[in-house]
Amino acid sequence: MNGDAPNPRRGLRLPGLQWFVAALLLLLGAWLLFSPRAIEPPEAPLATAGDASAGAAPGSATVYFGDRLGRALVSERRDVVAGSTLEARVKGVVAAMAEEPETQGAVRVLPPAARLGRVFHDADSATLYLDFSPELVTQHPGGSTAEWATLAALARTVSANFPEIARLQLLVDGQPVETLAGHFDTSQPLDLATWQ
Amino acid sequence: MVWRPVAPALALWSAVVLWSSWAHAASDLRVRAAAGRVLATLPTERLLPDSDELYVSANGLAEALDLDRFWKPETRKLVLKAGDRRIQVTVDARLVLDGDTETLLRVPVLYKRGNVMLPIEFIERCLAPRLGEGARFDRATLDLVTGPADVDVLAVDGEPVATGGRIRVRLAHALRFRAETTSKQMLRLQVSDARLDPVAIAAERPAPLVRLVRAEQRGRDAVLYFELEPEFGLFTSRAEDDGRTIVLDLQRGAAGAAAAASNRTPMLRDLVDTSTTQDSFDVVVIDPGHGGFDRGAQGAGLEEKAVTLQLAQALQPVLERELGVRVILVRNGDETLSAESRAELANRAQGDVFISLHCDAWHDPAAGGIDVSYAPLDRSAGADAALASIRRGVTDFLPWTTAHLPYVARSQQLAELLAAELPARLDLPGRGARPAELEVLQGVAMPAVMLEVGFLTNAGDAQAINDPEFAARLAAGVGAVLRTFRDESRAAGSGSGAPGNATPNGESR
Repeated sequence: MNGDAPNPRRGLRLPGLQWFVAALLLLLGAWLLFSPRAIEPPEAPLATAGDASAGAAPGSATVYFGDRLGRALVSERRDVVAGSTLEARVKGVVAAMAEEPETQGAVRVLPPAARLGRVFHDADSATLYLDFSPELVTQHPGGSTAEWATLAALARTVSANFPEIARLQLLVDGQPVETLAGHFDTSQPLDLATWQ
Repeated sequence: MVWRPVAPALALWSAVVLWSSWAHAASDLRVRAAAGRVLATLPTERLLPDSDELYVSANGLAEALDLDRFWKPETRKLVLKAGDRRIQVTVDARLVLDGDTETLLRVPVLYKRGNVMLPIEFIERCLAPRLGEGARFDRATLDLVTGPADVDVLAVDGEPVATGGRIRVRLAHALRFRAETTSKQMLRLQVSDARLDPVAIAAERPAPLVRLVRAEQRGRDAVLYFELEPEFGLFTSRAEDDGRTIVLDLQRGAAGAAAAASNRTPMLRDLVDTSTTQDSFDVVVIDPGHGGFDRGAQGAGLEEKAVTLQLAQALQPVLERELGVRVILVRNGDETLSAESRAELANRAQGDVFISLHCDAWHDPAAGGIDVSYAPLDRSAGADAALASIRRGVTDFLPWTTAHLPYVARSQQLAELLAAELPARLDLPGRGARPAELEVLQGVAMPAVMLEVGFLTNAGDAQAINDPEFAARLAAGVGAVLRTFRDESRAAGSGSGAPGNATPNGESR
């Protein structure tokens, strides 16, 4: 500041170098805005499930098993641990699937040794991530009927108790697996609507 | 000062020129035969602000090199097939998979304007080494040379003649050859003790009646495949020019004249519509389920992967003899194959029917019987949009999960025929035909089913499957069903409103 009165016209008179820099900055901004670049992959913010998601009524859940001859799924109402978070409620419901069914002749469709570890919920994509132990694959009996039943029972159980969930991604040791038994693609989230 | 008023314009012009040259002054990539003939010129461009690496369209590259390509939009994976190698890239990833070989590129594969864009480094490190003998890439000149210089099969050209089309195969010197039709729409020319550059020989529509020419080096022999139009009838072959030219005269069949009147240029997207016509029944693909480290179901001392291979190998000669078709096994040994590989092989073989053989399993040993599955009609918006894009010519990629959609109705028909016929033949309970989202069926561009011949967890089923007579009875049953299916398909194809013509949009083709 030299104490001179400000000249309103002086501010508009930029020297050539400043014009050049200004034009470059303008072009740089435009280029950053419109230039071709890699499409960002959709992020899956695997936020741990919180209290915000509503679930089934505490203490009661619909759980799916297989029938004796592998022709259909059967449902049962089961008492489950009433967790305060979606994560806890999902764990309670899946744990019920691993128990012996009460319906005469019905069978479990999850390998008994498979354990559910972490549960994540991506509210933006309505996707539930279930992270199982490797026994989900290594102890699976195989066959398209048994593989279908495992996936369909999980999908229907989740749908019945957590209507806000639209898609289900199975993980094993934190990673998606291509398939459980060689027939169905599990590398991508299952669309629950197609498994009803 | 005089220069001040023009300074902004000068600065703007300079910046535009500088930026434009940085972004677009990339050279073209030339694909050429060793003899020097340029087969294709592909534009390259810089796509990353912090890298000088050039990118080229995967679509253009595949077209120029005649590579099969498979695009799976859900996982954004693209597989390019070079010879017997499958090279897989993923959009926005740097990792390239080629069998057991992993290559980490310096920059990622990108996606731009509906095209997968490959960095030049991919061509240099992953693709050129797989193109075969003599292929090489020069990064400085961006020249991709596709084959050896000392070839014996020089060129293929053609011309129209009154009765159809004439193909001339130019040789460096006289060589023995053999020409034969392997199906109604495939002519095979084998030139003994000859070397060729497959990319240089490949051509589209070199003459009337010829849709596509492909070539491969098979040991010491050069083999050329001519994909023919439906109106092709018969051919004659002869040598000219002291044996240095093989002439193939192709003639229209009696039924071909009408079809020729509505001639049109087929493209890759036509796979959706016409790769398997209803009256085409030349190739049956049998897929023995599982294999390698994937043992499949187990029970009663049996492993599914071994059972399915044994049954498939028993089916092959019976079906070939009874139906007069060529039967291709997806695997003929204890190999690990992905569902995509199986479908890809079936499509490559231009099969007319695909049967995936499996054994079932259940948690209770009481479950048993024969199960047949077919892919459901996926009416998702994504599938419909993909099919519509292909029809409009927006993209030439055939999305993996849409390949089977046009065949769903005929697949269901085949599944129901098998489910009705086999239980009595094999003396096992029938469990009917059902739709199931089976991965191996989704990429198959032909009628396709999964046949579960019994439960290995059921003692009765396992005992029946283990019976030495089981394979023969299964072969007889499948043969009878395929004969019925073929006859019904042909009858439907000659009429209107054939079930197989239904599209996901309900349109009629």
